[in-house]
Amino acid sequence: MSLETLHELDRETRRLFIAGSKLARGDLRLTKLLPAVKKLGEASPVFARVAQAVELTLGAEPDEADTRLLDLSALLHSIMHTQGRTDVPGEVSPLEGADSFDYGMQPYRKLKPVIEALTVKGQGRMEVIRQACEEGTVRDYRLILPAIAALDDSYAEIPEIAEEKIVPGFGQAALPALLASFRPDGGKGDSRRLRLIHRLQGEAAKALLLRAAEEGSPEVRAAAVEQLGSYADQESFLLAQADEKRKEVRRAALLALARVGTPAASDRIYRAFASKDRELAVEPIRLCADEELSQRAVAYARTVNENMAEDAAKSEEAWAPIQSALDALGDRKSTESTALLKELFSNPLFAAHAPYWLQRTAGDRLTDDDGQDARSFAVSLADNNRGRYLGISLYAAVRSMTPAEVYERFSKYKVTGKRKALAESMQALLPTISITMMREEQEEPFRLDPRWLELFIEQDELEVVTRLVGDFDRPAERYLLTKCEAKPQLAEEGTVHALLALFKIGSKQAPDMLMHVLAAGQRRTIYYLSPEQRYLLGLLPGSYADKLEQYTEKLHYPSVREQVLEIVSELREKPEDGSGGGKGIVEWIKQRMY
Amino acid sequence: MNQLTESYVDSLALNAAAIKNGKDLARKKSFQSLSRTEDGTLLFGECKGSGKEPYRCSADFVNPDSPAFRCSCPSRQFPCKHLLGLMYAYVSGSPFSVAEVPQEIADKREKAEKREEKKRDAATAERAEPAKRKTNKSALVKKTAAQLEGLEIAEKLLRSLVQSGLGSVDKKTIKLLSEQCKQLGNYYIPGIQAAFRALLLDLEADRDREAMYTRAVSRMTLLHSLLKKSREHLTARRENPELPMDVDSTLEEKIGHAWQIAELRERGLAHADARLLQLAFRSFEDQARGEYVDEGYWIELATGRIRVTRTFRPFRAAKHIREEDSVFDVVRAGELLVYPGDLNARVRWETQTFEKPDAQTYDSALSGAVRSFPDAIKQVKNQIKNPLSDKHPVLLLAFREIVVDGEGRYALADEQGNKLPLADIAYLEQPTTHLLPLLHRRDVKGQAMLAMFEHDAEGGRLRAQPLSLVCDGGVVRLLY
Repeated sequence: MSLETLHELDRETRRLFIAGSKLARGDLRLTKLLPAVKKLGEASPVFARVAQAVELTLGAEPDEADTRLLDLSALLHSIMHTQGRTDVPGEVSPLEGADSFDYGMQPYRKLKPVIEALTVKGQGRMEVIRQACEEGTVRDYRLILPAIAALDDSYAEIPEIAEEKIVPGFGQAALPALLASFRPDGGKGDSRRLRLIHRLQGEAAKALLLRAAEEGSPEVRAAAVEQLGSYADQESFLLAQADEKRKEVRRAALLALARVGTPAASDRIYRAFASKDRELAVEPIRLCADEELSQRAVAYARTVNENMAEDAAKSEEAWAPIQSALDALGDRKSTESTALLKELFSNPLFAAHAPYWLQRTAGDRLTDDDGQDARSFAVSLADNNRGRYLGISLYAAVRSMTPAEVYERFSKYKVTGKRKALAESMQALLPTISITMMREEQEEPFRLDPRWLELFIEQDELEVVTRLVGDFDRPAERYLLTKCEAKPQLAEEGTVHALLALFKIGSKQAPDMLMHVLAAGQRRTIYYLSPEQRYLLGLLPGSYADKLEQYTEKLHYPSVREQVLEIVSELREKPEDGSGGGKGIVEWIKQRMY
Repeated sequence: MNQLTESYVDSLALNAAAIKNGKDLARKKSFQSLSRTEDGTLLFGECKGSGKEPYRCSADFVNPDSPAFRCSCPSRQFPCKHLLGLMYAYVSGSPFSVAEVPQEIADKREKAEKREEKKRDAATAERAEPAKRKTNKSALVKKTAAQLEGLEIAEKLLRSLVQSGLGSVDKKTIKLLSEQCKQLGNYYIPGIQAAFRALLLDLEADRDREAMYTRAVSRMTLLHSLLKKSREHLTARRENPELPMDVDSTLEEKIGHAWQIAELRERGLAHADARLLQLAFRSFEDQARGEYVDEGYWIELATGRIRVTRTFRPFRAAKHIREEDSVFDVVRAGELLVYPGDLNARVRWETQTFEKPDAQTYDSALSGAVRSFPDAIKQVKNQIKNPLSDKHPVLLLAFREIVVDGEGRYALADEQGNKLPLADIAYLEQPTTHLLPLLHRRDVKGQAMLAMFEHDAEGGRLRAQPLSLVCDGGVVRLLY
C-alpha cells in the first residue's frame, strides 16, 4: 500500500516538526518505515527519491537536519497533492431541484450586510434589516437559510421581522428548509417555524400540528395548539388541551377555542374566566367573535361587585375579576357593560377601596360610553365622592348638553374647595395652546360657553385661560399682558403660553411684549429652544428681524444663538402683512417649520 | 446623463455605508437647491452640512465617459455623500430647476478641456515613439543583494523554528519572531514577509493545537520551497543583472513584486479587446498582508479561460478605496493585462464598457466549460503538486446532474457519469453546498458549475466547492 506508507511518513514528519528536527537523527519510527519505502522505490522512481530524502533526514547532523526535514516534507506534500481521491462511494440520487421561484440575486455589497445582520450578533442590525425589507433586498434566495436561522435569534425584534416579513416573502421556496430545520422539541424559534409552515402549507400542515401538539416541547406544543384553532373539527382535542397541566398550553388552547367559536368552546372559555385561569381567558374573550361570551364575563363582574363585602374590598385581589372583565370587553359596549359601570360608580366601596388602575379603566370606559343613559349618569356624578368624578362628569356634560346648560350647571363649582378640581377638569378637556396653534387641522369636538373665559380669568387660572382663548378674545388681553409682566422669562412655560395666546387673539402688543420678555429674562438659563419657543419667536412680524438679531449677541450658548439666527433669517423672508399675526403668516410659518 | 440610473450611482459609491449616507441626504431633503442645465449635462446643488455654508456639489457629464464630480466639502471620500445624494435625488425624481452653468464650473470645464488636449498631444507623441523604459542597473544590483540578505534572515528564522520544534513555541517565541519578521520589511521582499506573517498568525491561533500544527507544517514547507526558489532566482539575477523577470510562474509576485502595466505590456501580456463575464465574487480579509482583498472570478468569453481580478485595500486606507462589487454585465476591456500565473491568471484592465449579457453570452460561457472530470482533475493535480502554485484552482465544469447521497453529501456527475465530490472547503470559510437543494429544477441538470478545488490533506481527498452555476438562462451565484 503505497498511499498508506505515504500517510505514515507524513505523520512521522509532522511529529518531528512538533518535536524539533534536532531529534530527527536516527529517529526510530522513521527508520522503521525506511525498508518499506525503499521497496516501493524499486518500482517507482518517485519513491526512490522519497527513500533518499528519508535517509538524508535520518543521517543529518543536527545543524542541517532542519533543511533535510523540510525537503522531505516538501516532497511528500507534492506527491500527496497528486493522490487526492475523488471517488464518491455509496448510493446517490440526482438532485431534483425546486419549483418556480425567482433567485432575486443581489450584488455583494447589498447582500453581505444583510447576511451578516441576520447571522452575526452586534449593533445596528435591525436598521440594516429594515432597510433591506424596504428595498426588497431580502428577496435574494441566499437569504432563505440565514432568515430561517434568524428565527432563533435572541434579539426579539429580529425573529419577529423574520417571521412576519422575510421568510413568508420567499413563499413555498422556504418550505423545505423550514421543514428540515423544524425540531418539535425545540424552543421559541421552532414555534415560529411551525407557525410559518402552517402559514405556507395551510391545511396540509394539520398532521404536523397535531403531532407537535402531542409530542413537542411545551413552547412548540403551545404554538401548535394555538394554530389548531383554525379547524373547527379539532374542538374536542382543544377542549381536552384546555385542561392541560402546563399554563402556556392552556392559554394557547383557550385562544384556539376563541377562534373555533362553537358554543362548547365559549362555555369552556367562560369556565376558565370564572376559575383561577381568569387571566388566561381575558385575551380569548376579547378576540372571540361570540359577543355573548363577553356579556357573560361582565355579568360575572356585576355579581362580584354586588357581593363585595366591606372587609374583602380592601384587598386588590377582590377587584381583579372586574378589571379582567373590563379588559375582556375590548371596544364592545352594551347595556350590560353600562349597567356594570353604573353599579361600580354607585358603590361606595369602589370609590373607597378599588385599586387606582381599576378606577382609571372604569372612568375611561364611562367617558367612552356615548349612550344617552351612560352620559346622563356620568353628568350626575359631579357631586359624588367629594368632587372626585368632576372630570368624568364635565367630560360627559360637554358632549351631551348645550354650552349654556353646561355653564349653568358647572360654574357653581368655582367655590372654594372645588375650584381646583374644576380648573383641572376643564384643563384636561382642552389641548395646550401650542398644540392648538401648531397643528395642521383644527378639530372641534365641542363648544364652550364664552362665560368660562371670564370665570377662569377671575380665578387666575392662566393655563386654562390660554387653552380657552379663541382667535379674537380681546377681553383676555389685559390679563395676559399682566401675567407676562409678572414673570418675564422665556423659560417659564406659563409666560410662553400667555405670549402665544396674545398672538392668537391678535394683540397689537404681542410682539413688543415678547421682546420685553426676551430682554428682561436671564439669557444664561436658555440653553435650548423647544419647538414651542421656536414657534413663538417665529410669530414675530418681519420688521422685528433686526431687533431679534441684536438680542442674539447677548445670548450665552452658541447653539441657541444659531437657532435664533435661523429664525431671524426666516423673519427676513416673511411677506409683509399689514394686519400682523393673520392666518396667512401662521400658515407660512408652518410651511417653513416642516 | 443617460447613464444616470440608481445602480450606476450605487456603483460609484465606495462602499455600502456611502450608499446609505447618500440616500439619506436625498431622502431627508437636505439639499437647499437642486439644479440642472438645459442640455442635461450638468447637475448641481447645495447641501446642508455641519458647517455654516452649505456644500456646493456638481456632477458634470459633459464628457460622458469620464464624468467630473466636484464638491466643496472637506471629505476625503470620493465621491462624497453629497455628490451621491445629488445623483440619488435626480434618479429618484426630485424636482430640479433648470439653470445656467455657473461661472465657476464653466471655468473648470475650460481648464479640463485644455488638459485633455495636452494629454492627447502627449499620447500621439508617445505612440510615435514609445519611450524605452530603462532599468537602473546599479540600483537593481543593490536591490538584489538586499533581497538575498533578506532571504537569508527569513531562512534563519524558519530553520530555528524547525530545529526547536513547534511543540516548544510559546507566546515569547512568537513575540520574538514577530519582531524579527518586521525587520524583513527592509529587504524588498514583502511577499515573503507576508508568507512568514501568515505562519506566525497560524501559530498564534492556538485554539485547536492539533489543527494548528497541521496548518503550520504545511506553511513551513511552502515557505521553505518559496525561499529555495527565490534564492535560486535572485542568485541568478545577481550573477547576471540582464536576466529577464520570470513571467512563467507567480514567483516574482510571491517574492513581492507588484507588476506594472508597462512591464506587462513589454512582455507581451496585454491583449486587445477582451470580453469578460463575472461568474463569482468574494471579499475577504488577508490578515497577513493587512489588506482586504476583493476577488472576482471571470470567464474570458473568447477563450473560455477563468481569470481572476484582485483589488487590495489596505486596512488603513480601506475607507478611501472603492469596495468592489458583483458585476452582472459583460465587461468589454479595451486592453486586458494578464499577470504571470497558473490556471487562473490574475488580470486587470484600465478602460471598460458594459454590455447586457444575452443568451449568446451564456452559450459561449457554457461552451468554455471542461467536459470531462478526469481531465479537470488532472489539470488541477498538475497544478497543485507544484509547491509554489495556487492551491485553489477554479474551473468551470460542464455537468449532467448534481447527485446527493443518503447523508446529504453532494457530487457532480459529468456526461460520462464520472463523479466529483462537492464540499465546503476550509479556504473559502463560507459554505455554499447548503444552497444546492434550493436551486431551480431547470438549473440542476445539463449546465455548468464554477467550482474551487481544495486538497484535503487530512482525508487525502480532492474536493470542489460550488461558487456559481452557469446556465443557459443566466448565472446563478452561490457565493456572491
